[in-house]
Amino acid sequence: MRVNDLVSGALLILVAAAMIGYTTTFPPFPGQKFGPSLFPRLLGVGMIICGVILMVRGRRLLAAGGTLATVDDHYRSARGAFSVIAILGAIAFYIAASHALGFVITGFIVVSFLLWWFNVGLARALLIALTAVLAVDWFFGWMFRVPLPLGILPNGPANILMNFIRGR
Amino acid sequence: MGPVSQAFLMVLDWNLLLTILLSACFGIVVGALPGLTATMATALLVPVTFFMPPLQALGAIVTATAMAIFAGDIPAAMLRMPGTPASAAYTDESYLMAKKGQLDLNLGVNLVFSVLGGFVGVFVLIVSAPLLAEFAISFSSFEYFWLACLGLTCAVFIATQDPVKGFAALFIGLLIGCIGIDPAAGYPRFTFGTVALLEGVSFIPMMIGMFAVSELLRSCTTLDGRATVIAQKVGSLFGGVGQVWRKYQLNFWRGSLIGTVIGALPGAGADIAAWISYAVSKRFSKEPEKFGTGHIEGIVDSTSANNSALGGAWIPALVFGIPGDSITAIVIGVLYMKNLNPGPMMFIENAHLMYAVFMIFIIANILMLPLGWAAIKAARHILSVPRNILVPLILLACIVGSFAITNSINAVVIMLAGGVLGWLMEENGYPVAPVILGLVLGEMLEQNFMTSMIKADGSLAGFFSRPIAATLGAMTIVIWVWMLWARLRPARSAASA
Repeated sequence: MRVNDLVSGALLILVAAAMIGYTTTFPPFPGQKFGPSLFPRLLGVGMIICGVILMVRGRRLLAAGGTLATVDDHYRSARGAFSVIAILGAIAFYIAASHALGFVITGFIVVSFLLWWFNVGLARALLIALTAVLAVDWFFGWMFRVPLPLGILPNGPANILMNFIRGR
Repeated sequence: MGPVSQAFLMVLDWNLLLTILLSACFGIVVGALPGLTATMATALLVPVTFFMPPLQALGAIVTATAMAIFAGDIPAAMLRMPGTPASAAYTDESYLMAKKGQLDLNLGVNLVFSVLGGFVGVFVLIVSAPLLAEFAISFSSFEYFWLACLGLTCAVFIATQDPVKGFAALFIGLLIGCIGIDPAAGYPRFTFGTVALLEGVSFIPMMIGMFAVSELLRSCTTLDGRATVIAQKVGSLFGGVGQVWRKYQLNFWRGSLIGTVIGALPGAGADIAAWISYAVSKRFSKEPEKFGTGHIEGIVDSTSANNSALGGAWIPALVFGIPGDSITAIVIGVLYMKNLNPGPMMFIENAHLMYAVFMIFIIANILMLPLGWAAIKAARHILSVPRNILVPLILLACIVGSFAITNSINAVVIMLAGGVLGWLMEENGYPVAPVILGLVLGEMLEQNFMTSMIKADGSLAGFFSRPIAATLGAMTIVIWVWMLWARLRPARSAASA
């Protein structure tokens, strides 16, 4: 979605103003007139200058017949818009579920769903997702010892396999 | 033992050489696939390098990016789609050559001149970086403050079409960098009382979000329809290259030097180097009418330029800690993570490491010849990997890569936020690279600023009390004033018209 510079400029000013407001709660350095609030405030002033220039420009565009917001053609199709939502939803689902279900199961659900959504046949999608998840579990979970969430599994598949090979 | 021989021994390590080989293959595949950029290759590589010793991490990034920039030329000629933005300047020219039946010559020239251009960039890096470091050793916080300001200003100016939005993006990045414990007083800022934000916004998940996830969001709407690879068998690649070298030697040197210089300018990288050297080539050509019809001349300039820019970009990154492009911005983040603070002291304290990195640059460029040749021969297979399978797999790599840095799900939240922010910004014409520059340089900039303020007892005159600082400061302010004036002037003339 493309918004007119008027909108994004106003948003910048709003964020900057809120931030400058927040900095008033910061204490100064002992014995100095300035403190941790100085640098963010300077940034805030810079953002406000940018915001004002953008708003002036946006208003001129609007006066010349521009629109406040437009949606690109490829997002306009239901599928295009939903593809974006599918990816964002998949990440959100991972954030919400990975602790309880574990990396292997959540990752498998996320990848196979997205593959299916992007028109890969279901059987193929499940197979690719399983391979990918096991490969990542081996690479990060076993080789680099990243504590990927286990969830309902007792241990990561690669760890189980390697422990079995080593006879433990 | 001197630092050079020490570096040589460091490079002769099987683990390192294997890492280089693997990241070379990774870089070629990512670079050759349209829509996956060299920056994205670096972003995906960083979580893996996190677990490596410093030299291996830097070597992986050096090699992968060099390969990716070359590999971007392959789909340009075969599909009329640049594999990375660095090949966009001459994509049409390459494709037209291929259509004329000169695919072999085109790819051969791209490969050989990429390698040679890469060598020029590395050579300049090796010669100039230690000299500049010696010069920079006397810099104080005043010089560093202005240098960072000037670097960031240049980054916004050169690399973005719309400086106002570029500055806005930079301020957003610097602001995100302010979150967490502040570097001067240790006061927690903008944490909204949460513990998760005390350490600040982790740089790698943010970068993965902004460079990789946002790219997935952008490309996922156009996944249907596979590209058709040009139906031409690749024959002998190096047949006509010698002739091209004899005829266009001057173009090669010019392109490589322009590339190195542009690479070294903060913020501008391989893609801009290619555009500018292509334009210069056309401007000074004896046959400008042939440009745009499948003519090799401009390709020689720009394919040399984009590879030489890579080496150039490392000059300010290593010497001043100011990145030359978005790839070296990531590199600086990696250096800080490894507790190696970029700056002139690196050339004294870690000279052997610097020389080893230079050697890896050379190895990577030598390796490019056989691997590039193999990649061209195998291009048909690489290019037929369906994108709809890649997108979910890359997303999984992003999620796990972000998580692996802090072992916390918060990193995935940051990645998601960065992805949405980056996507919305790019959609609305705000460049993303300045955000990452701001995030990486924010702490260094603020620390130098606060140190200078305390030294000068709050007086601005102190910022101009040393000759080099005064010069840098004056230059920065002139650019700022000029920018403001140039923004406001058309408003007045438009209003009066």
